[in-house]
Amino acid sequence: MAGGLFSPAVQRLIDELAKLPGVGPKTAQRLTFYLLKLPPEEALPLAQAITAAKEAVRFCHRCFNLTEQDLCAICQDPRRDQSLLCVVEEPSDVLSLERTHEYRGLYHVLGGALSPLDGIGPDRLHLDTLFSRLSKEPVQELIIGTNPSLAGEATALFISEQLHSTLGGRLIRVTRLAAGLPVGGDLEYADEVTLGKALLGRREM
Amino acid sequence: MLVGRVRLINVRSHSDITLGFRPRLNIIHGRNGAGKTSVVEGVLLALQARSPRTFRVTDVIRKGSTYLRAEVQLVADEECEDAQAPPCAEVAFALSSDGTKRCYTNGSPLANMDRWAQLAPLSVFLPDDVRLVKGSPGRRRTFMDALFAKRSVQYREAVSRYGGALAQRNALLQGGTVDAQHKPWEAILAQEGHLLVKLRTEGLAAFARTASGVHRALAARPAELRLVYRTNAADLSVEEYRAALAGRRASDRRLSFTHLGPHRDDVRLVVDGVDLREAGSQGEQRLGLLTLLLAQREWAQGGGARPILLLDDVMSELDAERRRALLAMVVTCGQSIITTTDLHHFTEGELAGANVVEVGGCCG
Ligand SMILES: [Zn+2]
Repeated sequence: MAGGLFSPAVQRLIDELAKLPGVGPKTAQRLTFYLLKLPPEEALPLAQAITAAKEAVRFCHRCFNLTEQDLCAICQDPRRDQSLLCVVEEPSDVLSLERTHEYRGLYHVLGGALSPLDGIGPDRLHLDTLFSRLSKEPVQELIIGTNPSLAGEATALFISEQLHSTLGGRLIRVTRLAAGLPVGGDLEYADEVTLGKALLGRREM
Repeated sequence: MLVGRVRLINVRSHSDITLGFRPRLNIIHGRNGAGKTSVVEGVLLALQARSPRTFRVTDVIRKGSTYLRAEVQLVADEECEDAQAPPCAEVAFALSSDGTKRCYTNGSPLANMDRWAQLAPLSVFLPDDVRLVKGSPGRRRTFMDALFAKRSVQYREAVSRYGGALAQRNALLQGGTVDAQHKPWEAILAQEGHLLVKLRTEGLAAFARTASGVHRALAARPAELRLVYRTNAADLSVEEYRAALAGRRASDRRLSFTHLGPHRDDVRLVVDGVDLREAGSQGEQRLGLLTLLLAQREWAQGGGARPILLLDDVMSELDAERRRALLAMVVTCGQSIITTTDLHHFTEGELAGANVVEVGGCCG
């Protein structure tokens, strides 16, 4: 679209909305005009909600899940099984796995998956913290729940490889959450039944 | 799908020409220079937005004109059920002399022609374009991949996973990162590369039987065509493959390129021990190309859309007996469009069953 078609403030809103995942320039325009038509008391709560969430929400110190405190609700819950740790790519994956009600252990959120093409190496993921957790916490089984994509698979292989050198003599069962998941998909989009089955049918790595 | 009506505006020597095609055999007849090959080129432009005859596609625009337009009406192939194919479609390609390209389907602009490449695949024989036989290995890998991917989901997935892991490893090679980061990608490469070599070996063995049958029918003298698979990853177990990749990491890093693996495969056409790429005569290379295209079409009976054959000036390549053999292969199904300067290359019976289209005025 040619510059100067919209006033600077309107253009700025369109540009910001267009940065959202799954929102193209056309949708951004539509959303902008929708928001501008709303009375202030209906539009402003959205802006306030974004501000409040951004100010309040941060990453859990221990597992990098989203939380409003230092530790997330799962890390704080004494009933969670401390011997089980599930590694996932994103906080949304924690949500998906929680919805299955099949998992009672803890999580560790990597913040992505290895992809040299996108400049994402191990240092860009929460891998160091994962290995230090494994050496300090009484984990007996590590469930690798990265996505069944190429990057997720490479990340899983990298973790299991590194684990051997990190743990010294200590034995941890390493399993991969994979059975039944569509290849190339995201955990986030798998339905609860499929994910639940994938959890129960996890295999040794 | 099949090609129905074709309209070409400002394509080479044609200012505005409309031709009608039918299922099975179509013969485009005209003297030399009448623009028969340009019709083949126009169909390719309309359906794939490219020309096999030139790098600069604007060269195709008629002299003195500022644009060209190629339209093809596609109709369903009633013998070949394809759930994804609409009953008919108007596909068009427009190009202006400044290089602006536009693709249309039923009058609406389209981002690209991928859909029609799937629904109406073309197999094009041009006597002056034997690059599939003579050119770089990449062309033959693409041919092989299209052939096998159509038949096997496993092959498609292996190609896609292999390509993805290769790109990641190559990115690491350029970054000069530590060895530990290479390992997972090499593990995936070894697994998928090993699988690809196995699937290509098996697939080529089967395809070679079809191809050598076709070649036997078309070759003027008894000759044996073999398809020789060349790979630098033969006879490696997954474990050995992985170790070989790790062993070459340092030398690969120097050139930022993965040397081992089926992304460097080739398949050569060898006739009676002569590698056509290295030492084939032009006639042998043309026959090799024709063989691949016809064998591919026969192979496609197994599933998916059957390629439409566009054969330019193919009859002059063959003696009378081989012409009968070729026509026997193409008339039974699908659609073929063959250009010729001489209708005597066809028998009365063949002409009776064909749709003859005159181009550039009748030359008797
Ligand atoms: Zn936590």
